Amino acid sequence: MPTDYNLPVGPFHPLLEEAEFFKIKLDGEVVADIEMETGWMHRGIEKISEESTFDQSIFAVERICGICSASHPFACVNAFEDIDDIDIPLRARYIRSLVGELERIHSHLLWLGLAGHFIGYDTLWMWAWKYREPILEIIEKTTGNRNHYAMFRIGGVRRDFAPSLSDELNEKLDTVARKLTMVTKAAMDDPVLKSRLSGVGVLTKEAAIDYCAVGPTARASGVAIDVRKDEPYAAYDLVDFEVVVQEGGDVFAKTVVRILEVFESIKIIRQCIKALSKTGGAIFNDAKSISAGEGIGRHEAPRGEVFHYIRSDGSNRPVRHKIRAPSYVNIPTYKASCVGENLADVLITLAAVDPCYCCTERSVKMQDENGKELTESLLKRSQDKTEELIRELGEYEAWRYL
Amino acid sequence: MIVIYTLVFPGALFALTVGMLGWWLERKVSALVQHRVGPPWYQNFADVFKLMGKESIVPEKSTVFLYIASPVAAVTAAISLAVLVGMPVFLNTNFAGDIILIIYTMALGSAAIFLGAAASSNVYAGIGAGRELKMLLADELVFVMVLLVPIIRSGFGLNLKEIIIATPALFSVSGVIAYVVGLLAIQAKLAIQPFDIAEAETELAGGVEIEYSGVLLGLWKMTKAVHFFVFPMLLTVLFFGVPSSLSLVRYLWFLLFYVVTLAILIVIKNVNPRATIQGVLGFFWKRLSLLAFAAVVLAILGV
Repeated sequence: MPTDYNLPVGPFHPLLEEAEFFKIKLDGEVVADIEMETGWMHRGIEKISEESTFDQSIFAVERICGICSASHPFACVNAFEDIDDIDIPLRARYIRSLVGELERIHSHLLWLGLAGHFIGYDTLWMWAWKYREPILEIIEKTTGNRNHYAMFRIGGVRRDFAPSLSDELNEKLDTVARKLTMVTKAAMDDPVLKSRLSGVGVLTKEAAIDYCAVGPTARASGVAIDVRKDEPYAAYDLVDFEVVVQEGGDVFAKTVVRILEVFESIKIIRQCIKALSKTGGAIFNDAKSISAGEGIGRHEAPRGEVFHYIRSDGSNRPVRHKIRAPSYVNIPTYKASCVGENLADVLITLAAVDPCYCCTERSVKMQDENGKELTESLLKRSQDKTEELIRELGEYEAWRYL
Repeated sequence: MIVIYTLVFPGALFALTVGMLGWWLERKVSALVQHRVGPPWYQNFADVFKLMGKESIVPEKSTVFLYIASPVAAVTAAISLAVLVGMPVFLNTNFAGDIILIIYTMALGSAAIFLGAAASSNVYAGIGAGRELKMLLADELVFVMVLLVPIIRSGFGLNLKEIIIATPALFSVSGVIAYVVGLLAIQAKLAIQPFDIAEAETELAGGVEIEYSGVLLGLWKMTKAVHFFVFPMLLTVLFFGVPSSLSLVRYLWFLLFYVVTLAILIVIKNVNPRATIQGVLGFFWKRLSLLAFAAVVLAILGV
């Protein structure tokens, strides 16, 4: 057997929830190099959004990801409201923050469970997911759905928060907080887990800044960035919370950051529920049209800052809709944190940034300095194929197939 | 008579049945700990039965003979082991051979896993094979030292029948230490968490077994089932002993402590993440082998 060989992780592998391809070059058990190939999850969401009306594109971007299905519409409506400086009623701002934080809790618990599964700790996996369930129930009670909440509209939210839910929500949050303290003890104070994850896949502060890492990935490396604090939107300037920062940069620090953030989120939700019981008024300002212009929207998604750019020409559709998900900058940090580590450590490090591949995959065109294309544009290939079909079958027949 | 011993009791049929029930117990209790329902008691029987009717795909680039022979060798070794250990325990009869033979037969199983994985010419299996070999190096030395303690306690006899009816080794300091270390070595031999690194589902997607399918995979499952019977049984009878006369009490005694040993293994499984291969080597060589050695020294001193 040769001493160095390539280990293909993906496109389908138990480590990855989605299709993605990592080519890991191994020297014995030590990882010498990693290459990543994208393009397995590309669905052309930006194009779909550009073909939809403003209201429709909010639903379209919600389908980018099932886990952060509040984050993309959140950033998207922020971008729309940025174009025309639309005001949002106070009540709607609180409801938006409430949904955003509920999603953060369920996403972090989902990650905690998956991380447990990846290192072969199935008990942690099942426990974390069991206590994620009450959160999903709260989400269902508040928004009407466990995932894909469809809460956001330009100028406010679609669904009011019923005051009668407050007590029940607080009760459920109490239970979850109590159980989570137990899971936290099992996860954070466990010497075996600590020794397994400490010092694994260290991402230094410099590297985190160089790779523009965001969210828990950056905060675990000592970079205190959080859109909620740095540039408050919705109700985040009205509630009191801390930005959790750890200095370690290893997988254990990332775990700690996520677990502590869950407690911060519970704090925010309690404040939102309290404020909502006092705040009345409408839940949206009706925006009849969006004028021509550009807007950007940001939101601190569970995985970090998600960024939406929208250009409008005064019609009812976005002319350009650019999406940058947090994983897009977080995934490449493997170059800094994985090379030279052991295989078992590398695989958990790859998963530790909580990568979301279907969020990340945008069609890109890479050019060298002279403008020569380095990679084939996926979009162009797709359009060429459509044209070829039309040529072969005639337009009527081709569209019947598409 | 030897045919019945090998095929029925305490060999293939009996060892498989008890092993699969033991394995089911492990799965069921793990499931309950994890708030799951878990499989019904006949799940492992159904799995193996179904695999027996499936096609075995042999990879084109594999070393065909080794690829097929390895699981056969492994299941044969496991059943021989069941007979070798089971005869003195259940029938009070001796076999031509002693505890040294048992140690050799145990290593044969690991060697077969290594060969089968290496023969399948899959990169995941290749890494798994490397890990399996390292695991063997790590736990074998420790396990042999653990076996030495009851041997010394019973007066340096290598005959299993005499060791198990002597005063149980657990009634001494050295015996307790050796039993605890032995539990961890058994955990590694059974390849359950935290020592499932050769299979490591989320790293190597099954590792050593990745290319196997159908009947051949069924043979691996059977090997694992028999191991679930033999290894805890060996540890149980060596350290808890059995009543000297052959009666129902003896079987119940054995069953009780077999379940106790298995329960400890299941608890260890459910509160630990998978270790890394460096971690395991360090743990076994630097810590456990010292402990095991101390136990041997204490046993010689008669403590």
